Amino acid sequence: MTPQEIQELLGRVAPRGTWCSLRIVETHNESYTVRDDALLPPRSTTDRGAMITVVSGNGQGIAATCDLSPGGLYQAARVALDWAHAASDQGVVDFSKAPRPQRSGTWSHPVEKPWEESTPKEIVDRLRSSCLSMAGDERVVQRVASLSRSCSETTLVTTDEVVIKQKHDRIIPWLQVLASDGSDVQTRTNGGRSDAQLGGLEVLDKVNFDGLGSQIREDALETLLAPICPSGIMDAVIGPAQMVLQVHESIGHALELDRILGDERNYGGTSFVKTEDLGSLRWGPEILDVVIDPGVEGEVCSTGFDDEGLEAEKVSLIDKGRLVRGIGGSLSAQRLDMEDEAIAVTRACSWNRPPIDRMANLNIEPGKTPMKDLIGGVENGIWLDVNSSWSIDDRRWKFQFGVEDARLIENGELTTRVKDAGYRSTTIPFWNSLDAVGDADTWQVRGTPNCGKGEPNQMVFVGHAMPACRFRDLEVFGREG
Amino acid sequence: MQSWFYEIADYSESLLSPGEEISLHLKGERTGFSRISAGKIRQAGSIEQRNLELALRSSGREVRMNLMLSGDMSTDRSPLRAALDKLSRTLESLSEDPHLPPLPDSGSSESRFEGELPSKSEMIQTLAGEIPLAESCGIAMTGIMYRGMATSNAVRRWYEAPLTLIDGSMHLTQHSGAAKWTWSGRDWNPEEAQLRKDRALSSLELLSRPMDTPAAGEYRTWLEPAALRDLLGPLLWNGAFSARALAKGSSPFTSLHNGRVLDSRVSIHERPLAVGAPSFGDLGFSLPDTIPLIDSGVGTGRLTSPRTAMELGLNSNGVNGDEQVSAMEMSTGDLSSDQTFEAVGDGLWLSHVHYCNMAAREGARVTGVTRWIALRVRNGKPVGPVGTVRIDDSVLRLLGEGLLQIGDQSEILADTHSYVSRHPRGNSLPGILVDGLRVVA
Repeated sequence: MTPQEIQELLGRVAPRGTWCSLRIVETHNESYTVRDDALLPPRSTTDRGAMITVVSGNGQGIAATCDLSPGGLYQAARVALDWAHAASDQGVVDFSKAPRPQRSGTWSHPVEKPWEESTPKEIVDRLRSSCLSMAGDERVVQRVASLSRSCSETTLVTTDEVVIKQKHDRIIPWLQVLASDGSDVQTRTNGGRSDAQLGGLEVLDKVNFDGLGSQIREDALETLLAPICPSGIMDAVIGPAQMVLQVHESIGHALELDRILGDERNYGGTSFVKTEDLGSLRWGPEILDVVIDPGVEGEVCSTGFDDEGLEAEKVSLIDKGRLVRGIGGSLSAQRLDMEDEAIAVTRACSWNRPPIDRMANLNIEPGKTPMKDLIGGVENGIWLDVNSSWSIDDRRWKFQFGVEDARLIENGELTTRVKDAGYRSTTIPFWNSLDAVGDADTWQVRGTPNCGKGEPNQMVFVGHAMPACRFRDLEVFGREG
Repeated sequence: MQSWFYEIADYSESLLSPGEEISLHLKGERTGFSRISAGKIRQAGSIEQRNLELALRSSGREVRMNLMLSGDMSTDRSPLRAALDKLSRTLESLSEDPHLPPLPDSGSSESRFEGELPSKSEMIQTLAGEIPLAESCGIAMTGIMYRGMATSNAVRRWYEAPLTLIDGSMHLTQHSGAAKWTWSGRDWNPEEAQLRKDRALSSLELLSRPMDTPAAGEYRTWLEPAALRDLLGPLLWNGAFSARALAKGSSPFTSLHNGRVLDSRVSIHERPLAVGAPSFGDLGFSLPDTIPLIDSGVGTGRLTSPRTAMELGLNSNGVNGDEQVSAMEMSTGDLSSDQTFEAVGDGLWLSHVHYCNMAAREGARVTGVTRWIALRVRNGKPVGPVGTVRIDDSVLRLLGEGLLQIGDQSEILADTHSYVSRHPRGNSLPGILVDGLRVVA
């Protein structure tokens, strides 16, 4: 259906005297996996459905349906109307006064090498080659090379005649080596599930997918033989793939307005950040600049609008170390009397879930310190990269993370590889121990498909473009924790 | 939905070319939900979805596709035909799969359960409204879940069950404490749900007392069934009982198959009937009534999918390809549920452990933080809430030399997760009393 046909359809099914929106999402996923040189059955998904939102009086109801026929949508609109009536006078806000989409538009992004232009055989051959490149040592007990593509088209129309159409095409490359010497097992991957990018198969060239296999194998074998990470307080340089997780957990979730409002406290949790902290809290040193940037080429949450129709633009969250604003869309901002602070981050994972406040492209801006100086500025410390374990409390304050890639730094140089490394700290003291931000050469555009939140639960993509960063006096430990 | 699914299956079979086989797996739901924040409605609505997984195979190759269908045969024939055309073309480009297991043998089963569902208003009122000195949050979900399985060699299996799940919490407004409560069942029972809610409400007085946060160290601790589930969680999704992970050595429980033993009172089984899960897996195989996993402390069994069985020369027990438990049951012990504070004496009492993850494969070391009802116990009595502390300990130790007692009652913990869809699965676990639970920060 064209957006205009969908608009017309909404006009036919919308209950009289109500405001309605209709969001249709069509997603095509494909996934190929070669494990130990054997192709697993390829998988694909064609998922199509609609969510209709009805505001009647001050109540709001929603209905998600896989039946996109006029009759199916008509029925869904009646179900949503019933919910709006049942919810009357009991909502967190008067939904008749809730913000609504204002402008129509379309958005898509460049794709240099469309997925469809490669045959399944070409993709499988590429994966077989990558899988084979990870072989060559009897201690390698499992090798996995996989490639997934997720292409979503979203059309949002309202009874105010706003029409928004967007398309996102995402690639998720994955390489994994499991190495064992009989007494220990170590895993290495291409980036700990942080290699998703927007685009076509050109993404594989950007991340050097075809050339990574042998290096991952060598890293796995080296890690297997490495000594266990020493415990102690030490300086740390954290690489971009671990910074993804660090920022995601201890800045992104902590700043979500629905957590601060308390909506998420039955599931993901709340936040140590209070509304009075917005605009004033010293989060870190002046070298820390954190932004939501929907315009970064290739980053998975680059977009034109959010799922409630708000236009996306680059905004600062932490400016020179000071907290400027939280991560919340129009409704959350209105509930906090901060309408001007709303940003386009209200997203749903698909047609069958309502939009909520999410991180989008949450990035640290590159600093000025080259990698050699980041490392060179550490006398006795550690390099930490590629996440393997993550745990943080429900207020996003006390965290403990583990990494795949750890090497000692001695007298300003990377030296011995160590294994089973982890570190723990608390959010604000940790960020205030930041003393150098890597320059643009250390900055990597990364992303993950696995951010879980909301009730009913939702899993979405999030983008994180990160430089390497240096922190002083971090509590680091090895296998015994 | 059953007749529609079987019609879909018959139609799909009619489209097969000679030599092709097909299996179809349906995950369907009709769910109503009401999400409450501070006693008011944040979101409320309904979800209907019919997710069909097709697996087409021919000449030792297989390709899979998930297709969201409408439920109307006249509409669904066209996308189904297009999907099978595409799968058939893709099959031609694939090489033979050396580990492709056979389809399940012919067979049929039907599990259809009935029960009363709450109305929209009842769902809302269960969590909405004001509470003195606290705020109510959470989600109520209700509706019917469907699972169907059909193959071109005459397998027809059906599971249909209503399930209502209340996953709520109460948050003190003047303190940081909060208590979680849940109720789940096929037959809506507002009185039982209210009892659960009242029990959580009564714990708020304890949570409003001054905090008594323990320093880093080791503490004798009672772990409620949900806390034990939380600690086991990351081990399970890292392949604790997976035959493949055990064979590769990546399972955190590998040592249990190499001579290490847990306390002899620990017995763990996969038993779908214990939690009302379907008796067939996503691949259509009928599941055994019980799969012993740990018997009297000894690692005895494993979850072996048909593919792993083919690849590694093992016997399959028909479980899903991820080889994860979906209905874990642990045997009870003899500690009375009303004696847990006395049994702790001086230590901790934890209802949950939040955001657990595997900290090291060696020893099955897990880390997580306290959340919900976490109490300091002195002289056999709860004295107040503990603040947020981090736990980091070996689960093999906690279920081995650190295990003091096992509770005499199991709790059925329905899976509250609803990623992609609701899931008819859960665990049946007792609580455990452990020695020296390690608090690190």
